[in-house]
Amino acid sequence: MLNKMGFKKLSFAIIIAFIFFGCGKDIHVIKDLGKSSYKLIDQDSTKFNFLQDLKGKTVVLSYIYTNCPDICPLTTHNIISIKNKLDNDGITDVEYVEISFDPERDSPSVLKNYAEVRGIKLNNWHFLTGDKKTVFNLLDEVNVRALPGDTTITPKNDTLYYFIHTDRISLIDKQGRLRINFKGSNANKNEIINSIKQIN
Amino acid sequence: MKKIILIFFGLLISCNTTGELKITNQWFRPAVKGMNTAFYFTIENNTNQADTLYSVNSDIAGMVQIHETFEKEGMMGMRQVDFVVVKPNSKIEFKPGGLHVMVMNLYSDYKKNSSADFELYFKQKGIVKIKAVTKL
Repeated sequence: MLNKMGFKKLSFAIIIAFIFFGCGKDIHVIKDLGKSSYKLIDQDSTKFNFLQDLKGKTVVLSYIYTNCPDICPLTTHNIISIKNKLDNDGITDVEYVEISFDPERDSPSVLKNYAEVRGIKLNNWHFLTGDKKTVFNLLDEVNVRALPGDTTITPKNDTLYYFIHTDRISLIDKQGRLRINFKGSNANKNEIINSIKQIN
Repeated sequence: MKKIILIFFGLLISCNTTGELKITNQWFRPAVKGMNTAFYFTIENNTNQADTLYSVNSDIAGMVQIHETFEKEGMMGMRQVDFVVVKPNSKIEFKPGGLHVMVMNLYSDYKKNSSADFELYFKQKGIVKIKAVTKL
């Protein structure tokens, strides 16, 4: 039987347990990508095997096209903020990957320009492109969609086209498992940072 | 006495004079030659009359259009809008993830701290010329 004092102590212990163990979000496995092998190239035209070259690392993954003036830069800038915060917290063993769903226009040099103009250091940040079929097979596997939208013809007869696309930042754990998806352009950065810390 | 009455009416008139339509907080994202960027700003309509932004122009790119970002069935996209009405004594923000001016096919690189001139065409106000600086 618990006396009044014992009941108070038990209640206090339960509250403390909630504070320490109840804060983290329950992050389930969405998909095991551990055996996924997509032969892509990065911004330096170096071969890059997604996901084999990232095994054993926590990965922050997003999907962009560099001709996107509004949504995709927002996603990239959110990831810059997330990376800066994690770096300041001493968490540097995270890899950042942005895959282009416009591989026909997003060549390695175009991706490199996109990174450089934003001052992104590329030591643990990879911009990936490649053969269209390979890229879209990968996007299918992670359930990301990118459909060509409006086409505009400029006065100089250049054709400009845009995509309607999934707006997402995903986290992959060290075992190569897709764990959680977030909105990319309108990201809750603190929630993403907490989730990275939780799975890292 | 006449003087006092004139001053009184003068003050009364000046109190009723409305402000101007002005553009504030203008900036655009850095981008390189051949690529697209977005131009953002706030339209402050401090007058008693609605006005309409119907076009934006700049010599820095092959084409400039007013766009909005939209979400449909969990996907994000952008589409052109023909004009934007700014109600009297109100303001409209062109901001990331919403209304923006799409600046397409840049003729040069616009890296950090670059600037460019833009012309905004309003139905009432006419042309408003402004300079904007790149910002991440």
